[in-house]
Formats: sequence, C-alpha cells, structure tokens
Amino acid sequence: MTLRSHLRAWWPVIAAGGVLLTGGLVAIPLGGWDTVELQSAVVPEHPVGEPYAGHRVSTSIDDIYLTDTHPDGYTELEPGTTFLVVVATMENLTAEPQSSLGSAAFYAFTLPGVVEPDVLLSGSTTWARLVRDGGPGSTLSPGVPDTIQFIFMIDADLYEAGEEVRIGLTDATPEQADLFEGTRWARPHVAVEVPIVIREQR
Amino acid sequence: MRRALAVPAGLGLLLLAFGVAYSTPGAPQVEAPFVVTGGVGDQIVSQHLVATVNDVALAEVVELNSWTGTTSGVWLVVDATVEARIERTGVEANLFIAGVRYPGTNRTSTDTVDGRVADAGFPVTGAILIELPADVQTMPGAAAAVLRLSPGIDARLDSVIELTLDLTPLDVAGRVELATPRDGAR
Repeated sequence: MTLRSHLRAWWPVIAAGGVLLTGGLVAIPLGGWDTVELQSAVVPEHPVGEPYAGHRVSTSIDDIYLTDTHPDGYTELEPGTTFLVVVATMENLTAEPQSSLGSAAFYAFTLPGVVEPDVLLSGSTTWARLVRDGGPGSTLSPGVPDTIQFIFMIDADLYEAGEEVRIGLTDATPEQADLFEGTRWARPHVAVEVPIVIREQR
Repeated sequence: MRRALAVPAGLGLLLLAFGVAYSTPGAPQVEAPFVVTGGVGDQIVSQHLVATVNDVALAEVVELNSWTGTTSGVWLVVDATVEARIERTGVEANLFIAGVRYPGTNRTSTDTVDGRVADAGFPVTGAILIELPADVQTMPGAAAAVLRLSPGIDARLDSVIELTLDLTPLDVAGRVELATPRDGAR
C-alpha cells in the first residue's frame, strides 16, 4: 500500500486526533477544561424557617445554638464538649411512621462535622426531644408535624457562636425494597442547603 | 384449519398468561396477618390476645398521670381491656386509614395499655393513644379506619385483632383526663 492509501484509511483517526490536540493546546493557556461549574451539581440555598418537602419528610430548620445546659436539665457534658442544638419543624410525608433524624444511610439533614452521611451517630451523644413537652421526638407519625430539638454533644472547639454553618436538607428516591419489607431510599443526597448562623444560648 | 386456529390460540394463551400474572398474590397477600374482627364492646379473642375496646373518642389534649399531651394533630383515645390469652405477650396498637399506619404513641412511657406486656388471666384496662392528623375526619378512609392490636410490631402471618372504626361522627373533645392502666375489666 502507498502512503496516500494509508493516510486515506486512517484519515478519520488523524482528523479526530488533530482536533483533540488543537483543543488541548488552546485550552492550556486558558486554564484548562475544568472551568465550567456544572449547574446540576450546584446545591441551591434554602431560607431558614421555610419547609423543604422531600419524599420522606418536610423539614424546616428553625434555629441552631450552642449551650452548656442540656435541654432536659440533667444530662451533663463530657470534658471538652458542648451541646449543639438544632431546632427543626418536621412532617412525615409517607404512609409509615418515620424516624425524625433518619439513619446513617439517609439522615434528614447533614451538618458538617456532626451529621455526616454514612457515619453512625452515637445514641449516648445524640438526642431528639419534642419542643412542646420534652417528650421523645424520635418518631414522626404520618401527617402530624412537630418541632423537634436535635441535641448533639460535640467538641467544644468545633463550632463557635456567630459562625455560619450550612445545614444540608436531604432527599432520596423511594423504591420497593427487595431484601426486606418496606421502602428502600435510593440515591440519598443533599437537595438544598440552609445557611444559618449559630447562636449562643447559655 | 390449523393455521386459522394458531392466531386465536396464541392470543388466548397470552390472555391466560396475563390473567395468571395479574391474579398471583403478592407479598402483602401471602404474608397477611390472620385477622379476628369484632366491634366496640365485643370481647375479641385472637391466638395471643383477648381484648375489648370499650370506647373511642377524639381529643385535642390528653392528661395522663402527670403528663399533658398536646399535639399539632388530634388524639385518638381508645379505652380498652387487654390480656394475654395463653402466655405473656406484647401489645402493639396501630390505626390504619386508607393504607397509612399510625402507631400508638411512645410519649407516655408505660401509662397506656399498648407498648407493654400483657399476662394471661390478668386483664388490664386503660387507654391507647394515637396521634392523627388534624384533618383526619375529612380524610379518605376515615369512616373505615382499622384499629389493630397485635403481639408485636411485625404482624406478618400472625394472629391479630382488628376493629373497624368510623371516625367521622366523633366529637373532638378539648381536653380529656385519663387514668393510668388499672387491673381488671372496665
């Protein structure tokens, strides 16, 4: 075969390679290709006090504060810790009772350094209480909204009063579970973020 | 002749296949509990429990022992007498309205007859409290709500007691005072 016939046979590959090479050479002085922020990856902001309705629960972040006094009046702090209290109004939107905070696979909200996806929370340093009477706030009946204090014992230097934190309200897709009876929550993700300033309540 | 029959026969078999697939029971039917039914005032006997629902009411606020229960919804207050039939067993209460499950409340510790154990030959009378949405009486299915008493949370293939309750004509009391569970029938 002659050179001309070789070039003719490989022409599509040569053309494609040339385009890529040219694009790369042009992109390098312009900062490369990774300069566009995917709009689909941007998590929208959500205002404080406004409910966000996911598939499992509707959640409104009402308040967040630091305190050295547990709302129950008697639980004491470990040395070097403090209580971070998140107050949220929630409503169960499903047909079954739901845990207000959820589980490690699908928490109702995320809080950097405190409530992280797939990280188990200790039952001895996490509490959920109803604001109305201090009763247990771990279970939500369908269609009955309530305001809940989520209390976390955290390192005292993790957050300070006046600091802004972004609480992520999550959502997932309900699917029929295969290995157990009930609903499986697929693709949990942070749907919106609530920027809120931490108060101090001593 | 055979060719003329082939198409209708094929269609018939397809229809038969759809019918079989459509009528095959799913997990909810295969695993359904064994239900014993009755009405308010009847003594209902299942494999595990003997129960009599004495009265049913709706209330905005309930007082039980030292606890005052407020809610953003409304309380279903059921006065019931419950005992185990053969051996000690748990008592779980749930209300179903159009497929939505509302559990007995866990806000009162052990001051209701559900959420605790029952012993054979020792009936206990007291309240069952269930939080419901504020607009429950206008919800679809409110006229045929089903109260289920079971020995455990998982009632699949188990013997349970069920009563059908019509919530729509009930008056909603402002405040109801209740007694803690007491020994004996009402």
